[in-house]
Amino acid sequence: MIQSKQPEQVKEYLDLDNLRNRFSGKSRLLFIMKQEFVALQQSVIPEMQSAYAEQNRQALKDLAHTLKGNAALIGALRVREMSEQIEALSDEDLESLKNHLDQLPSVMRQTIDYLEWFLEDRDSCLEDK
Amino acid sequence: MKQSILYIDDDRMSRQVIGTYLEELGYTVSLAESGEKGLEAFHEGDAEVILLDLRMPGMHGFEVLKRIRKQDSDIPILVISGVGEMQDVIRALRLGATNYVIKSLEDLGILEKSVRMAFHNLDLVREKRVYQERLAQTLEEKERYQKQLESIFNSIPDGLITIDARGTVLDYNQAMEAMCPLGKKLKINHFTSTSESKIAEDCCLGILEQSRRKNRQVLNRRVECSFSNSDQKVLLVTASPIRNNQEELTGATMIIKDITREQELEEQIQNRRRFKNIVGKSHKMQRIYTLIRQLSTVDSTVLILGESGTGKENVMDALHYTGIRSSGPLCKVNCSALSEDLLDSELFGHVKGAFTGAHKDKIGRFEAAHGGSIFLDEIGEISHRIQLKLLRVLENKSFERVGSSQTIKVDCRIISATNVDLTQKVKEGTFREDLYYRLKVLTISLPPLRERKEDIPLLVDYFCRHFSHEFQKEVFGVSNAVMNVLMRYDWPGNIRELKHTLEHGCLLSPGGMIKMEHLPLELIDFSGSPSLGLGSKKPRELTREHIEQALTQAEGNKSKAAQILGCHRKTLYRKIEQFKLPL
Repeated sequence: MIQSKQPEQVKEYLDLDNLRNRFSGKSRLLFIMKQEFVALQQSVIPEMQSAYAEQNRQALKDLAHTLKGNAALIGALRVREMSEQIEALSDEDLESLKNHLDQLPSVMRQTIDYLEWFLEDRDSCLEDK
Repeated sequence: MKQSILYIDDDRMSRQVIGTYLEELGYTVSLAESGEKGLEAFHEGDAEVILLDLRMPGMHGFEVLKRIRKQDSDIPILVISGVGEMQDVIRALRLGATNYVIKSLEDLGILEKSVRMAFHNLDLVREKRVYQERLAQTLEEKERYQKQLESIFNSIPDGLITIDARGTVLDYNQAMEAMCPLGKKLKINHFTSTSESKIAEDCCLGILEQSRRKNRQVLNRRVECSFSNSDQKVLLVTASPIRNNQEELTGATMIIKDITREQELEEQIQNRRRFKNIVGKSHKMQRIYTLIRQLSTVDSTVLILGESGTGKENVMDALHYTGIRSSGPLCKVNCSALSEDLLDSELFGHVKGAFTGAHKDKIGRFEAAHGGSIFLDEIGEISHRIQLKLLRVLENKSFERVGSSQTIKVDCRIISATNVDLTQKVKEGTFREDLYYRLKVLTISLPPLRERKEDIPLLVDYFCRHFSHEFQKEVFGVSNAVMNVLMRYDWPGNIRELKHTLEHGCLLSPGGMIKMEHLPLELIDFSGSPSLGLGSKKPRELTREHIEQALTQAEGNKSKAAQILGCHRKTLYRKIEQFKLPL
């Protein structure tokens, strides 16, 4: 069996232990999960950027809250952490969260990459477990 | 069938991920994207467990929770939320949430367990509901049976009482209260007896106590219950111990049946139906009994033959009262006791003015016996004219009253009896042959007592009891010497003579045993006892001397004299006529 090497930083982005515990062997679920996260990424980032541009604190806070919940659900650690910070900072100086907001697309992309790796390499995940 | 879950959440990704996760676990999941749509799905669908998000645009999760819980107090509702703020948790649980689960990857295991637990609880709730329904049904059924039993308990005419193992009254019915004089004093949860009022062992409650104490059934005990304020009652009591599955005594129950009326009726029937008064265990009598039973089922004319005193009338009674006409009348006519004209009138009746003294119409015995039986005793003594009329009745079942030309139809069974040899009479031409054959369709020939002496002890016992009762004396039987004489004697007067002998003995006996000195002279004489007898004479040879002595002893009373002599009154009359003694 071909075993792809585990990316070095994957554990910073994904809660691998819980993912393995809950989703290993459930390819349909993993596929839906990744698909939904991709769809979320496509919608939430422009909406957040737009809310920031409009200085709409509440919209920004709600979007960050939703993203935080979804990230928690799939074990996306970095996205969860980042959206939590955005949610908290949206009540304060919006300038201070700009940096987070800028980094968010790349973090989400990286998360999706790792999710794909996890999905494609579920057998190794099982063995790794 | 899969277990179904309704998941209400506005967040698309949560719905898809958690919904699919639950489907992968084997549940059927329907999704609703708002509180409003969730309520609709709840009303229309058949969700068994609800998974409910709290923070939703439009109707908030708490409102959804409140509305569902208002309609269904049993359905498990699991609240699922991205945040686990304590105030939300408390509020959700207060509003009736089954559990509160955090929407995160690490808590999916808790969600899984919560859902499984919710279904398990639901099964328990359903099971509980089924048991509750069954229990309610059982209780309802029990109550119905209880009422039925109470109704039966109180409506049956027999007295019923139950007590526990200590003798405490558990229940008794109204009949018990009415039937037993002590029943009025009974109280539930009180003892049947107290130290102040001991209950006699032979009364009903005493029998119940015996059954309880001895742990033994008392079956059909006859109790004659007599109290100063009530009439004597005859009761039939059955008391039975009650035992549990381990055969331990838990109490006793008693049924009392008032058989006073039945007893009276039975006595009446016994008195009317004389079948049982034919006493005898000999083979000859057994054959007679069989014959009587056979003839009682048919309607043919019967001729009973037998010497005087053999019990022809008893046989006739048995034939009538065990037969198909037993509910009809029974008319008896002694044909030798009446003159020809009187017998004619007696049998067939007469119309007013038919003869001197016929002041009004009179129905005859044949008419009176319509639907029943007529017994013609001493049939051999009837005249030619009556024989002819009787023949017509036998042939056509019709006759005319004396002095009337109107023909009367009757339907009655004719049973006749005689002690004379009718064939001889036919030969002599004094009895019509055609009538003879009509009468003797079925014949019962009764044996004389001398031919069934083995029945004498039985008859002695029977008559001793009879006369003891009649004379209010305690006569238990006869001495061995007397029995020896009775067994040796030939009894020309048959059972009647034996009856009179024992009547004589009972009259003269002060009580106890009938001894030799209490027997009629004829028997004493027959016994050969010199100190008592008048010489060794055979009983059938009633001498002039004996008859004169008896008449003197009885001061001219023929019946008493006949008793002293141990013969029938008619026999005495014949002898008086024979010896030409003054009447």
